[in-house]
Amino acid sequence: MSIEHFITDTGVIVISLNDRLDARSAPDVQRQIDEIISDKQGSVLLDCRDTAYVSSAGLRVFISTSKWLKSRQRKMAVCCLRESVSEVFAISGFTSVFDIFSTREEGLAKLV
Amino acid sequence: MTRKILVVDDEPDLEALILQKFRRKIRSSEFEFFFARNGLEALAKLQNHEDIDMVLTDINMPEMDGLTLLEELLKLPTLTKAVVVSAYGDMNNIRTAMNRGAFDFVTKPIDFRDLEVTIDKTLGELKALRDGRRASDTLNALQQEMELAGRLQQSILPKSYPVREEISLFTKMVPAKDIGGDFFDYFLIDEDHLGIAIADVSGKGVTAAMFMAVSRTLLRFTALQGLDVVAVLAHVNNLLCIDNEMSMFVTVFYGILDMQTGEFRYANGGHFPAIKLSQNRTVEFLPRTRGIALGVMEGIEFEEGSVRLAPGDLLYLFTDGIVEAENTKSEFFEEKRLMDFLRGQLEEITPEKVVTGAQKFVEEFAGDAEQFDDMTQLALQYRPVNNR
Repeated sequence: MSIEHFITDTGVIVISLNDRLDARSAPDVQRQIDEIISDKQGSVLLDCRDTAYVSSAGLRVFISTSKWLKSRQRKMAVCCLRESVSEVFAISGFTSVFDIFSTREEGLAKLV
Repeated sequence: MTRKILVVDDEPDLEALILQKFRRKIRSSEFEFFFARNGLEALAKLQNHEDIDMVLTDINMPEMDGLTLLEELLKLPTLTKAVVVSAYGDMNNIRTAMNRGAFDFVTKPIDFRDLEVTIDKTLGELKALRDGRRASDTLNALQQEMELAGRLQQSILPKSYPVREEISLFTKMVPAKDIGGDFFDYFLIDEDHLGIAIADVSGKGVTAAMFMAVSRTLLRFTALQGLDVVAVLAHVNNLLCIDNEMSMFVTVFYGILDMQTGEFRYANGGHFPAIKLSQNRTVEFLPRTRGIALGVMEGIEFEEGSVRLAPGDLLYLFTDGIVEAENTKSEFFEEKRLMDFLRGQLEEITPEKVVTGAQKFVEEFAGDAEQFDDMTQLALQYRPVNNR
């Protein structure tokens, strides 16, 4: 499965994540994200509007992406979490680790 | 990738013909040809060029004929496919050649268009064979890795429950095929205090199992120093953050029960809080406390929660393998079903009944669907001596 992305006028890479981020899909998703973010410069917004399920292996994708970007002084934010996914972020405590926005616009505004 | 083909024939004309007919494919590096005049020469060439994909051989040759060469090819460790060139209608030799492992044959005089098709077909077959062999190698390695991870996981789980009259414990872990990295632990910190933990490492296989082993050791070691729950998680978190290149993390729920008073203090590193089944007929999650999964960020502060257990109360700890068990319709088991099940257990609460009952309930729900995460549970019941 291929993950879609585009770059906004302001130079933010918006990556739309797939519907399930679990142990099975995570390695492939991670590889694709790595390709996109190492290929292009700028901040990254991970859009989760299509993501219905994130397991602990899926959460790792967010962590390693964020660590990689941070070590290169680039910013990352997450937007459009569905309720079920938002709950997973809340339980794991990741709500306080990431900049999370309810809409793409808010996320983009923060990343400029 | 250049495909390498060895042509074995005692007639020198064939060499010139092949170089001429395949000149485009040679120029574009699609094919590279090697030539030998008999079977012996061919074997020598194969020894020097182990990456030769295919042998095209005549049958009648001096020194070593094609049929003998075929036998020798079978003894080589490399996967090399052979195609024989035979006289038209020479069914006997063709049969023999096929019996000795030849993949196909072409007849003389050679039709080069047919030869090209035959080469393509042979190389295609070879590729499938090699892919198959590689896949089976990878699979074997994976299976070994999973077995190793499984053994690691089993070896770190405590084997026997502490013998204390004030408590009753029951645990169960059903590992997923590819090992999800769950663990539980319990230990006496001193005469009056029992530590319990349940945890889930992100990721699968050996990396997860290693991280799990490290996490469990650090947690137990730190906990046995007698630190409070918040200090234990903070300390383990900082240790796990050091050189954590793989971005591994572990969610941990850790608590200490004072067996004299029934007071249970807990801290939570991004795990589900425990559920309390109470003698007064309630089933509820312990209040959430601040904290995040361990190994993510250094210097995190955790918040302590506490609850006073009444005699007979039970704490139920679980990992996401339980609530995220999936059935064949891709529905999750979910917290609601778990809570409903637990509410049905209030008549007669025992740790073993709750844990085995929940396991059975989840498995009935999941049916034939394969489960991808470990299912781990721990139940602790408080039953002080003077109350029985």
